[in-house]
Amino acid sequence: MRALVIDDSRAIRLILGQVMKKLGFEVVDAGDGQEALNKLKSDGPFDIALVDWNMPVMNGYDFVVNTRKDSQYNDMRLMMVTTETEMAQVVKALEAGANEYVMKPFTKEMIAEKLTLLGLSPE
Amino acid sequence: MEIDYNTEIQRYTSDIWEQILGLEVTPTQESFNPAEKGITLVGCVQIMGSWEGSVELLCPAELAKKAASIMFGTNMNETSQEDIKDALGELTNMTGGNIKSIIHDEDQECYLSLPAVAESDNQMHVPGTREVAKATFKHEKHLFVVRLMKKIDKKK
Repeated sequence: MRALVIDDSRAIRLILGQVMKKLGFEVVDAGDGQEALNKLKSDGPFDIALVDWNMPVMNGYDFVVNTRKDSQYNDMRLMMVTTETEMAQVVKALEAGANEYVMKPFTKEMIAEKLTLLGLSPE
Repeated sequence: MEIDYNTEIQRYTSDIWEQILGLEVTPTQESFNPAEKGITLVGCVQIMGSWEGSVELLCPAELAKKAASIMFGTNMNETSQEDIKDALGELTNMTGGNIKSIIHDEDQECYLSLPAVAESDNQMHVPGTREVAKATFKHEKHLFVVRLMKKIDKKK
């Protein structure tokens, strides 16, 4: 299985990438939504994208909206991994097409649980 | 119900440092004086919308370096300034995001800026704001501070 980790923090890309690798995923990362859209084209397909909300250039919400406009990515799960913790933001992201929502700080167990809910059972 | 900001800041900050860094940090009544502690880094995120202000994380450079070395999995002496600023920025972002969730009405929108990190020998001052909560923490010999600042409403 393949995962695209999208976060403007290199530290979070590294930590989340390590979590996903431990859970059996091959990982590619991107520092903002626009870079992620480019990587979908150049390095895809991915089974899941883990998406931060607040990023420069293109934020995570706009990435979700743009991705869901393109039917070739219909099968890719989208999981928000973000500090935006309010219910209104969660609802907004889910309505835009995100499948799951994890609030920072996260643990490996939290990510694994959400992956299972998405049918991407970790190893 | 009145929210006890200090208690919430203490809870969020302890959770973030434990879950992301595996470091135990404890609230303390000791006084943090940046000028006496060498180089201090300040992480800041702005809160905009129905509640306006900022969340600041004031942290000795040595502790920020330790946090970065843990996050990046590097030795302390291999940790770059860029790594340190990235790590402190993300810790500030997580702290600010969690605090933002409790300071405004759920039916009104509030936004968080991207984090900024700067070096300072003195406490950062944002003109036009006042401190509404401040919590000091201790990890081993290091003290650090989380402050919630609110924009002063000039209409009042």
